[in-house]
Amino acid sequence: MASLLPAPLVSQVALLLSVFVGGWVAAVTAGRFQLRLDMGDAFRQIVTDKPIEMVGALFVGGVLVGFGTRLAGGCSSGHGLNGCGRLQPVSIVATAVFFGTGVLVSFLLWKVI
Amino acid sequence: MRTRGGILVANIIAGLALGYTVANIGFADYAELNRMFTFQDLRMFLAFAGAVAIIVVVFAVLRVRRTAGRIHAGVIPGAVLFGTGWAISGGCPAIPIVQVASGYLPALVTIAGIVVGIRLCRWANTRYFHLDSGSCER
Repeated sequence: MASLLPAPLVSQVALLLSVFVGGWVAAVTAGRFQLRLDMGDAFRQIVTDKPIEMVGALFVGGVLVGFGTRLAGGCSSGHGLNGCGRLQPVSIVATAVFFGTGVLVSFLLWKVI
Repeated sequence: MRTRGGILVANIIAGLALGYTVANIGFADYAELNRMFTFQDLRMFLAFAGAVAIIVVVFAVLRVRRTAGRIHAGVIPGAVLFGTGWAISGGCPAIPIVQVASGYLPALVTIAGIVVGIRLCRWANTRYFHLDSGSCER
């Protein structure tokens, strides 16, 4: 009985694992793969160079991303690519706002903080 | 083709392509992301715009119908929170997976934060906001 159900959990897990594998293949074949306990020089210079603060910033940033994605009903893929690709007004508004906010916060981090 | 097997295969192909492409464009690199947001390097902005343009054409050719996509009360505050978190952590939901795959182990913390944020919003939405669902909600 072929089902017409939304993607089940196994498909969603497969998607996430495939993203991981695709990223790993790209990093290895480009010679960029390197296990490290920091987020790179730019993060150290722009956000923080202290390990505890780095963990805090990443966690808070992650919470904002997760909460915001859920609240806005989409992310850079859902709204930015898929929604804008379908010329949906809600996605165009959301994409403009999150890119605009990203620009503002990045300038604040870069120039002020 | 919208069977479970078809969806599984499509997800695997899309996931591999997304991970590989995102890593090679540089979206998983915090330095590149910051250069994009501060207009020091427009390459990734152009890559994003190019991807949207391709999707517009493909969807038009395939005659993918538009869904309603109502602008509800959560869209703008949600996008503000998302943009802030993206600029701070360098991770929109799929990017930290690619960062971990590239060897940046602290991105696991970003993933944990995203999971907490999604669950927190789901709880707050059920209890307080009562907003309708959007494209990533389904």
